[in-house]
Amino acid sequence: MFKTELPHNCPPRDVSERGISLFRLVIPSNNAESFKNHVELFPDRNDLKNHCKANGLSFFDNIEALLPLLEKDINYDKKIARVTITEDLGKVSNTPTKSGHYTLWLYKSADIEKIEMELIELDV
Amino acid sequence: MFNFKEHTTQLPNNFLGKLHYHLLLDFVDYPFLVVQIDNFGQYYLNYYLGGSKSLTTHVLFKISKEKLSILLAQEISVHDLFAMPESDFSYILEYNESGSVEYFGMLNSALISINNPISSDYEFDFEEDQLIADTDIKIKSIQRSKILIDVYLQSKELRASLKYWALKSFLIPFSELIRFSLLDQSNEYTPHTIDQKVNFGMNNLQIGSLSATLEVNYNPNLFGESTNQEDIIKLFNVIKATEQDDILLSLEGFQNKKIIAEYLKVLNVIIKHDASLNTKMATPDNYFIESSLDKTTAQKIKRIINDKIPNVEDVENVQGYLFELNFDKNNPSFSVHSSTEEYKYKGRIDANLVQSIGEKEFTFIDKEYLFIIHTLYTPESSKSPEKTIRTLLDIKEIEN
Repeated sequence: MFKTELPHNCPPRDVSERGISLFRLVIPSNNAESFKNHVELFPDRNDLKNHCKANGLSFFDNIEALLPLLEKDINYDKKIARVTITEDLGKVSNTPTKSGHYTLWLYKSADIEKIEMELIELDV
Repeated sequence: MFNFKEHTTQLPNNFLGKLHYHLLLDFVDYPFLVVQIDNFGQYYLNYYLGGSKSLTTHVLFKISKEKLSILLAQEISVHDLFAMPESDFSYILEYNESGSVEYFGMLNSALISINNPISSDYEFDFEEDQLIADTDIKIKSIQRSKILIDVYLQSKELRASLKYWALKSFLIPFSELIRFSLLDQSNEYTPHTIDQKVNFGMNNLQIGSLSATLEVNYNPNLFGESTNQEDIIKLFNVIKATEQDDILLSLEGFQNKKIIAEYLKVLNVIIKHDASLNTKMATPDNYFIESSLDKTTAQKIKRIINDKIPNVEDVENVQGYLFELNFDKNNPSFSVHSSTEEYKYKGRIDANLVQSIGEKEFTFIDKEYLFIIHTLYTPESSKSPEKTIRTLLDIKEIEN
């Protein structure tokens, strides 16, 4: 059902299919890579395969939370984008964390290439 | 960023042994700040310093349980924690893409506090669901060198106190499932010897819910393989199976079909008491598997088993003592006490045995025999309770 084999009790109960617009770090013009979770990005790293969040994608409801992440080397090729999450993509957390973080667990059937994203130009 | 690696003394890559992820404090598609734990229960704070996907650099230092509690309560910031590391030495690690350590070096912690890599406003979100509770059983398994099976049964009825049904109707059948798994097709164990050779310890029994940890000896062979582990994995395949094909295939793997009867008892408890069962197994060679069953899933599995395996039949060789042989014309019956388990077998005598037994004499109570007993188990249904019918097929002398 989900893109990667989720561990036990994952996703948690407080998730649902919904339409919501959130921000994420993406690789411009590359949906396939932009929407890979940690387990897919690091397929040989077994230690986190059984962790629920590692099988999900991180989003925020505010741009400010993403700014420090842009400075990290591992995100050198990424930009902030507004992503339109639709109900058919998967299950997303119902409530954000304190910093506005959401997790989306993509369905196997999700059409990644059709996910709409709009790059955000930042004032330098 | 200060080049910490330049100031390290290189150590073997596996210097700290296996480190398990314990808490993901800051995870945004990558573990930027985590708590790890080694096999001795020592916590470490691990922070990403830099590097791309192919080679990432992290700093690692020991953190006490007390300090970790303060950090999680956010009574101290990450920045301040890095400014005052508890240990004189910290570590710099480089991980390659597969997560293996490419470089491991020791660093004077003073350099961390002077060149603090954490900004003063850095915060993390900590949520309970980030806790990786599995780490505990994995580490305990290594420390105890045993296969550990965690069993956690939850039900509203268990909230205030432990109920007798939880022990009698659940824990005992569940322990029997483990036992049957080990005995099935075993060259090593017999019902007579298993309790002496396999340690069924329960080192954790909590009141309020039923939470128990069962221990089984690991006993790897020269190739590092443990038949005990393989046998219990077979059982987990049964518990994890929720689709018809998987259920039937996993049960077919057992020669002793009594396992189906015991499994149905466990399912019945879950259904009757609206319970949920979570089970986990960890082994000293870092293998881990888990499963969960709730009432709905248990009902589904039971329907499939009742539909496809309506009657569970089994023929057993029971070593024991004869208590009763009654050749009543209408209802010949027997009673046998097993010498390998605290159990009395009762039922009827097969007509062929009644005829063949003739004038044979048997010693009651004092002499052991081998009894061949057929068991027909019919699970509980909406029309009738569960039923077990035993038939004595033969009595044999035990050869010394």
